Amino acid sequence: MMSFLQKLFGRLANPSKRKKALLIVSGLCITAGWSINLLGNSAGLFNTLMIMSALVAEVEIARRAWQGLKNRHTNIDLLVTIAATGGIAIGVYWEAAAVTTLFLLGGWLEAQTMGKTRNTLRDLISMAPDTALVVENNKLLELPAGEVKEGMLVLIKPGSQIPVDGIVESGTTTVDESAITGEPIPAEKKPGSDVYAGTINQNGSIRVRARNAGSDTTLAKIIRRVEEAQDEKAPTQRFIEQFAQWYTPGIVGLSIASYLFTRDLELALTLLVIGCPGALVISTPISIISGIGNAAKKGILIKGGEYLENAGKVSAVALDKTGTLTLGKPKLTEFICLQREKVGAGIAEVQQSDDEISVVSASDLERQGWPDEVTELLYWAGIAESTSEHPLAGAILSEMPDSLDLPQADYFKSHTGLGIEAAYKDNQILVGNAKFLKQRAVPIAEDFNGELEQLASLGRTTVLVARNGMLIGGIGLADPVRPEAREMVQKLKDSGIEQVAMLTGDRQSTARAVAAETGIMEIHAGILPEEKNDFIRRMKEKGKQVAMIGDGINDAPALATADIGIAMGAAGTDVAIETADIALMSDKLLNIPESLMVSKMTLRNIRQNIVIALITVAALLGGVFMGSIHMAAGMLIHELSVMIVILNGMRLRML
Amino acid sequence: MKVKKGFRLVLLSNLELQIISYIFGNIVQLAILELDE
Repeated sequence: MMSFLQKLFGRLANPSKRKKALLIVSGLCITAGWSINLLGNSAGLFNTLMIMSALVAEVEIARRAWQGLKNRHTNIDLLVTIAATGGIAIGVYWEAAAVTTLFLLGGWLEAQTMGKTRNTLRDLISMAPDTALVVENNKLLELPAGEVKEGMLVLIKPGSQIPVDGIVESGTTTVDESAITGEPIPAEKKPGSDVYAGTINQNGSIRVRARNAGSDTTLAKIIRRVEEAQDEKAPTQRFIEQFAQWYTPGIVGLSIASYLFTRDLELALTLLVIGCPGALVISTPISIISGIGNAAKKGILIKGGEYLENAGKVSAVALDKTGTLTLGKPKLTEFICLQREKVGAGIAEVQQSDDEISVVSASDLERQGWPDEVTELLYWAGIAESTSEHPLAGAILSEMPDSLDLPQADYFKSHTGLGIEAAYKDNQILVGNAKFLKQRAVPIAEDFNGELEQLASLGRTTVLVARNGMLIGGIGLADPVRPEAREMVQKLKDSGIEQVAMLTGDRQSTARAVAAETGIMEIHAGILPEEKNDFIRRMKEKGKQVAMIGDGINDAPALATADIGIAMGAAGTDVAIETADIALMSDKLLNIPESLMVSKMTLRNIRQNIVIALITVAALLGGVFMGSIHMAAGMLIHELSVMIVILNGMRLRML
Repeated sequence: MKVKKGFRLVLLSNLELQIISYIFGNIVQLAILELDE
């Protein structure tokens, strides 16, 4: 018995369960009362049951009213409490029971709706299965997905959902990643590819080395972020809540004053009920929740109402070049070689030739094989780049001929925006841009500069390689522009963005080639991350609302300085999910204008809602004072306005 | 008597109307969410 009571009270401590229990008890009392009333004429029992129903429901309502009063808020709960207590006092038991029970039912439905709004999103991405098939000593073990440890090997069968974040170890397949990236086209996966929990493996069987499981997966992080975002209040919402705080006592004052002047109780009470700012209070949150939910479905993660509002006001956009406008996967295209001595087994004494320049294109290499001077160039660049995480380093290393065995550098230092210095045995290696080599007093011949200019005019990025203070050559890399970049820039302009600028650490001529391809008119090339930051600050000082779009890591300072930082391809990179205000889960560029559009629509929706709410209340109050609107009609119009606001907000989900 | 009538009129009958539309509003929202899925 004791344990039953303990269990019961334990359950009742949970607000939603308590509300449900009180609602059921109170509803049963009413049903019983009416049944008895229909069966026989027992007014006493009927009234007792109605009083019981009213009191049971009132417990919860009065508690909330009291909580409100303690925080100096007058709320509708207070109104209902007064009504029900008064109803019992004057002997209208059925009305008292009806008002309290229905109010409790309304509250329960509201909680369901809010829960459902969250669930829509949760359902969308909480597809991660509960268990994982772990391969251990050639045996299959079924483990709860949350208990999979980093490094475990997980088997994923065709058609099943991926339970963990990890890297494909063997097998090839396509994976439907729309839950995370919003991208409807399945992504191809091969050994080395990243896969995410909650996505669906389509046609092949793969083995995945687990990286994150349970609440650490990208999926779980997205869910948490979106939930936090929906709770975070937008500036307008904060303002309205403050306004409502003064508004309610204001209406009470107005009602008392009108009674004192006119001695018309009905008028005073009508004012009190009609003046309720329900539509106004709900106007902002309903739009924000709908807007954020809509964006999340498209793979756009907006961190909160505040950012949604700010993004709706953006007038200038700054874009990073590498990885944002371009694919961020550079390919080697040309080699400029300055020396022709043979490398031999690897490290050979190499003599500086008489500034004889040879340019070899990468496509020729495939036909003719690797000449020694190219191998030499790649060898020294490779030693320096092997410890770097820069995308250009990845490109150089991935095209290293298999025959070349790269030793580990003895010393390595990265200079952001410039290049790398490294040492191996007696060799000092510098790999970087022309600015970097000039800083280190490496002489660059006139005709070499000419070659650099020519490559740059083709949109190439050139990495120069120097050894022991002597330039030995350059490696030309091309980073293809994303096919949808031009359309994206046009859409930004069409949506009323006044200024679209490209910020890049790359040289002017490379930037110009990309700008020509994308239709961007303003270029700021050859700048360091701090200078990107300064540029954003200057734009802000000019009164612009600036959005910075980057790929998350090296653009972090500029992303933080901008009014709105948008990170691209954030799935899998924690930094981007954590630092940006808006994170695009896929690499789809068109999601940039899309996210600004959703924000603008939401902002417009909020304004429409506020106007609807204020006009209704003003018109009703005017009507009441002029005597042309009475209680019932006024109430109906008032509630209609709440409905219109709700429907208008929900419209955002359908965009 | 007037006070009693006013009380019934406003705080019960009309509050009921308000609560019913509140319930209705929530039912519509739930229905939209259901359709949305």
